[in-house]
Amino acid sequence: MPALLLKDFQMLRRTPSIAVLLVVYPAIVALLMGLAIGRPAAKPQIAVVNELSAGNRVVDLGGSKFDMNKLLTSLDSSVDAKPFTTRAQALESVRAGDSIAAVVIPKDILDQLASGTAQGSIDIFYDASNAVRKNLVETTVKGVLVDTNRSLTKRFRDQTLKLLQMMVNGGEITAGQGGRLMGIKEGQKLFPTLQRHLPPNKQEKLRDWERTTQIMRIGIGYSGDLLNRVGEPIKIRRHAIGVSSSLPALAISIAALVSMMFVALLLGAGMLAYEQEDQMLSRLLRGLISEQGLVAGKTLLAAICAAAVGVLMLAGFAAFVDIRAARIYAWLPAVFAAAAGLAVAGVAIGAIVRDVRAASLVSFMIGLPLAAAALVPAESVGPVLNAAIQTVSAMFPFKPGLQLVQAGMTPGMGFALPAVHMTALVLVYFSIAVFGMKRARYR
Amino acid sequence: MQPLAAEALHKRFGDREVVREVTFAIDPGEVVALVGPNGAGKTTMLSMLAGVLRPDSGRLTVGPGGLGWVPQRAAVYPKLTIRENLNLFARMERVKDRPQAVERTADRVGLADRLDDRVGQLSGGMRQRVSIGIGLIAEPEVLLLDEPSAALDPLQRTRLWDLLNGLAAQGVAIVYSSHLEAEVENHADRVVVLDSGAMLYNGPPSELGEGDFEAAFIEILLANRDDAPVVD
Repeated sequence: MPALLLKDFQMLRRTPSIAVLLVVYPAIVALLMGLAIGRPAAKPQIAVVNELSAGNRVVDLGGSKFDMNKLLTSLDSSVDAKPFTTRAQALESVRAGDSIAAVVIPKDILDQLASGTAQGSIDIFYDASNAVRKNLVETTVKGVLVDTNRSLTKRFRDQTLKLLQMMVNGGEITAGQGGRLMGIKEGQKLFPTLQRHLPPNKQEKLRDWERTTQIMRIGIGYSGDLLNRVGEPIKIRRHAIGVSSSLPALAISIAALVSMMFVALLLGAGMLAYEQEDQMLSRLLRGLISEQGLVAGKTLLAAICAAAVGVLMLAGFAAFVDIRAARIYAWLPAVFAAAAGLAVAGVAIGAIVRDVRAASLVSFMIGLPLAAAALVPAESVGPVLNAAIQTVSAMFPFKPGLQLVQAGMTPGMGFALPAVHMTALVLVYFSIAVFGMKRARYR
Repeated sequence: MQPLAAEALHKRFGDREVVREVTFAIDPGEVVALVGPNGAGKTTMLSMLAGVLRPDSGRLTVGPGGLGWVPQRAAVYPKLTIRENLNLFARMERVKDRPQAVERTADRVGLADRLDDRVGQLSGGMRQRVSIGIGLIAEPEVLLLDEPSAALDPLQRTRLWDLLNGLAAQGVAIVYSSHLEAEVENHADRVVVLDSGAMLYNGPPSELGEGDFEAAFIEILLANRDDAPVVD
């Protein structure tokens, strides 16, 4: 087997396309993925038309001031807000594709907010023909407005509370003609005096009014909590269960595994199919090497190359994101185990298909959809389809390989189950490959 | 001891009997041709002799010198040089003193001056020589060749037979299959005729029958068949 393995490496070295596949491709993918994961997302440009004059951007909400510049600041922190003077200019920028949307803050928004009854509104224009842009605009602008609306809601709530408290405790009114307001509390103090001066037939009515004011006081006392609930009816309390996994760890595991999968499948399948062309197998299997030895040799070759690609990619990612280098003792064996599983699957394909070109095509046709199926979230499909997807992806080593590499990078994530799963798959695919070799021998 | 002896070798693929109780032996330096129509069992017979296929029954005795095997197509690695191809199989055959064995074999097949050429750059005839070289690398007593000249032009075929006759003169027994009557008539010391897996004749080509070789060959095949046309 060592002689044959050495020969395979010699042949790979003399095939420039393979060298490109093994070295340049993972380097480029790692660079692109690393840039995408490691750098903050670029801010999309949004055209902004602010029709409010510079000196008229503050609205008085019953004594509390709100500066509309906060909306612009909030917008600017999420997107690249490019100011335009007129709506026409802003719309032209959207049509030209320079801006993904135009946001117009109309001049009457301050009056609408100050009225206390009308709802303030802003206008957004976007290109609806592009579904991706449309979704991006809606998500971005909604995010910005959530902050502004929350700030305004707090102000409206505070103002309402202030008025309610004044109804209980009394105080000075500044709005309208102004004046002093006697609160319920002070009014209740008048009941004993009134009781003495009222005739007996009016006493009952006075007692009714006294009970009513008592209930009003209690009700207003609860209004603070009630308004808080109206502002945020459901408060989210987050409780993490299980081991916390990071998005970069998942993203780089997927990127590395997909590249490893193609290298392992194509090399495993191709190199074994190659041995079956031109009757080379009849030379080898006449006692020079066993079927098991041949399958093991090709698996080892494909696994070494795929693992090298995986390690190269992770090294590339390390320049951009934290790959948990200190956990190399965990993720390096995981990368090799994943590579071995994928390699033996490739070798099994090569043993069954026999022709190099057909084996490569079959590897793509099997590998790509099964890897995609392994990435489908269980919650996104119905239970029957999910069961089918889980079953199919469990029969291919991509999923346990991904779980192994992810576990290698995530402290506390278990190895046992994916390791057992992978071992079972390796044995099954090894048996299929040996069976294929025995069939080829008797061809 | 004879370098190769087959006794009642039998092979079936499913319900089909491919080789039926074939018995023959070879002497050192003897050139034996396996002939027969397509599907006669020649390749299966050679594959069993080479150890590629296991017979269902019968006995195969191989002398201490071992066997070399040259499949029908030039089974060589085109991306490797002649030296690397020979060296690879020398390692797998556990040949002692590999560099010398490689040089010696290359000299035997007339490729000593091309040792470092990539096999993919060679002509079909030269590739066949490399393939024969791989078969000879362990210096076997018997060389088995499956239709060795099938893909060669007449000039390459002549050169191939110069090489094989030279090997026979050195004491290497040659067993080969062929469709070409002239090749059998001119080079074989003995002919083994197979049809539907059965051995119909085993002897010198000159004693195959009356008339020329081709006519005698057809006659012996027809005599063995139930559906042979009746000739008055």
